Amino acid sequence: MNGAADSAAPPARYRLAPVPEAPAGAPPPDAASEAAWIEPVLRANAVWFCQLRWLVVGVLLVVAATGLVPALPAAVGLRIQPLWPAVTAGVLAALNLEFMRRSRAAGGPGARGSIRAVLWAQIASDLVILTAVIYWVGPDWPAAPFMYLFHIILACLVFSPGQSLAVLGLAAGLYGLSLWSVSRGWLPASTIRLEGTGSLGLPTPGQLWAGLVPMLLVWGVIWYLVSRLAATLRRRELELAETNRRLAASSEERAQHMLQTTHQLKAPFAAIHAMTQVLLGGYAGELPPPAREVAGKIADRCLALSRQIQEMLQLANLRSRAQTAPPLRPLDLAGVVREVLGRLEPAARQRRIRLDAALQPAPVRAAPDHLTMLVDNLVVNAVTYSHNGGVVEVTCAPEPGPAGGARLTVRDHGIGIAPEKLPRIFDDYYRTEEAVAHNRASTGLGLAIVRQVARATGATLEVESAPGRGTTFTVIFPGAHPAAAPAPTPPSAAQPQSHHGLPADR
Amino acid sequence: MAYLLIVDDDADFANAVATVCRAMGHETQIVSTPGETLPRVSEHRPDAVILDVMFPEDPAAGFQVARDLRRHAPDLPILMLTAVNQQFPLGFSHRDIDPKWLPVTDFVEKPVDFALLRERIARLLAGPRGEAQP
Repeated sequence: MNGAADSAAPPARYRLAPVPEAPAGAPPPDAASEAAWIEPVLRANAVWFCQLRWLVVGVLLVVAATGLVPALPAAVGLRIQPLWPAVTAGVLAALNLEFMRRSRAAGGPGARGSIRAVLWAQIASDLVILTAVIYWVGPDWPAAPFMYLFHIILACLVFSPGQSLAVLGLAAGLYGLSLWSVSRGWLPASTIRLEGTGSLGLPTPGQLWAGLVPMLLVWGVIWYLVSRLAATLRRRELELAETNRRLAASSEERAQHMLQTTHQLKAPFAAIHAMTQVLLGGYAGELPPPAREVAGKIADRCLALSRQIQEMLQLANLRSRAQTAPPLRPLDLAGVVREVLGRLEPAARQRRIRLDAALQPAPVRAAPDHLTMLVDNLVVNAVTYSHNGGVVEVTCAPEPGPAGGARLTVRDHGIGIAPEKLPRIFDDYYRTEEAVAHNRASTGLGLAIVRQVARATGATLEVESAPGRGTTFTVIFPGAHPAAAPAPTPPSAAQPQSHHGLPADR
Repeated sequence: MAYLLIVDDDADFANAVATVCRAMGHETQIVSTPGETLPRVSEHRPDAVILDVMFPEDPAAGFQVARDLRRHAPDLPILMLTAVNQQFPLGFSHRDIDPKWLPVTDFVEKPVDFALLRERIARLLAGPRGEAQP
């Protein structure tokens, strides 16, 4: 900055434009996001249409089969030539196979436009075939105009109102054209009614219009109602999806921010703690005893605060990573417990607390770091709330039965927890008054971490406690098939102790 | 007596660590930016490096320094000190803390207990490449 070269260089400039803030309410979703969201829906619908079409093919084949036995249709006044429905079923089946293939392929990259094209081809070919069937059945068949309604309604559901109106127009055009062609004598009149049961007079153009206009009105009303409803639903669904995405993003952002903040807080405490150790260790000369005591208190408070920050960090990390949790690996629970006990033993010994372990090899599936954290927090908790000179018993064993799984218990004979307080002990920062009186320094986050890990691992937590007599935590890890995980054992009625089960998916 | 290079942007912390190292009879040098590390190592090769992870301009700079050091001096023992829990590497990729991949010899979490630090430093300087004993 003060060198000759620096002063010769032009000053660097950086300009930060104000970033437009997103409005608080959900913005109208843009076309691109709507397209991205709608494509899979269209594709699913295209496949669904193909499946429905097989039903129609089946109905046509049944009709053709009925035609083979003329007495059957004749009983209801009909005369069916089997060739017509059989050929139509064949054409429809061939088209359907092709549509099926194209609908499935359209999900591939770069095929964005083609799924719409496949849907349009499906609808157009359906309408043409339907018109042919209606022509064959006969123009005075009462259900004929209603058959087109399927496609109009389906188009309303999957297309925009304009596109479904175009489907309506296509249907009306095809139906009108077939009626017109017959009435003008361009096509021979066809009917499946037995002659004599009905008069097959050709309609005049006037009669044709008198029939078509009310039909078009009914179609139009149905189109309006369904497309409006469908558009509303689609918009709502899109808004919900967008809101959900924003919520997930903001929660991730908050967790990240918290983690950064906790790290920033922890670093100064590391420095303070290091410097108190310089004082206490006599590296800066011997301290008089009262000064040593003060420095010791500073170091203790520093460690406590640092641990609290560490636990906030762990909990926030567990929660923010819930979506992309590290993969669960097969582990031996006994090995993890042994390692944790080895690490915590010196601290327990300072308070003359014995750690008794009965560990059998117990395979579990968990993220190694998370499992260590769970065991660590349960044992630290048991040691913390034991009386000096007490015993903490830790056991682990595989669960009996074919489902597998494992069970970890951590039992102390310490201060215990009142029954009404049990449901809250896994809450962040919750500490019972008795716990605070016994140990001011602990953070109230350890059991929240335990709960979070149990949840991620699919394990069930149980706690039994009697005030003044101690507490037992039990963690039941699921076997290889989580659905077959053992249910928590129900508390026995005769049990004098309170009991609280906490399913991992609460 | 050994020569230890301490790489940490927190001068107070680095000085406290240096005090302990000197009390153990070692010579120390403090480097406060990751960029200075490699030139300093080339200039005068230390017997071990005590390295922080997070630096103001790059929250994972320590990992990069460790990789560079490994390339430059494969046998140089590195002790990583970090306020970020080793097992919960926030903001770092899993790759960064994969023990098979991360090229450091040992890891100690801040705040550091100085008794533990002394023990780790002694071990770092003792073994071949100071590998942690199982």
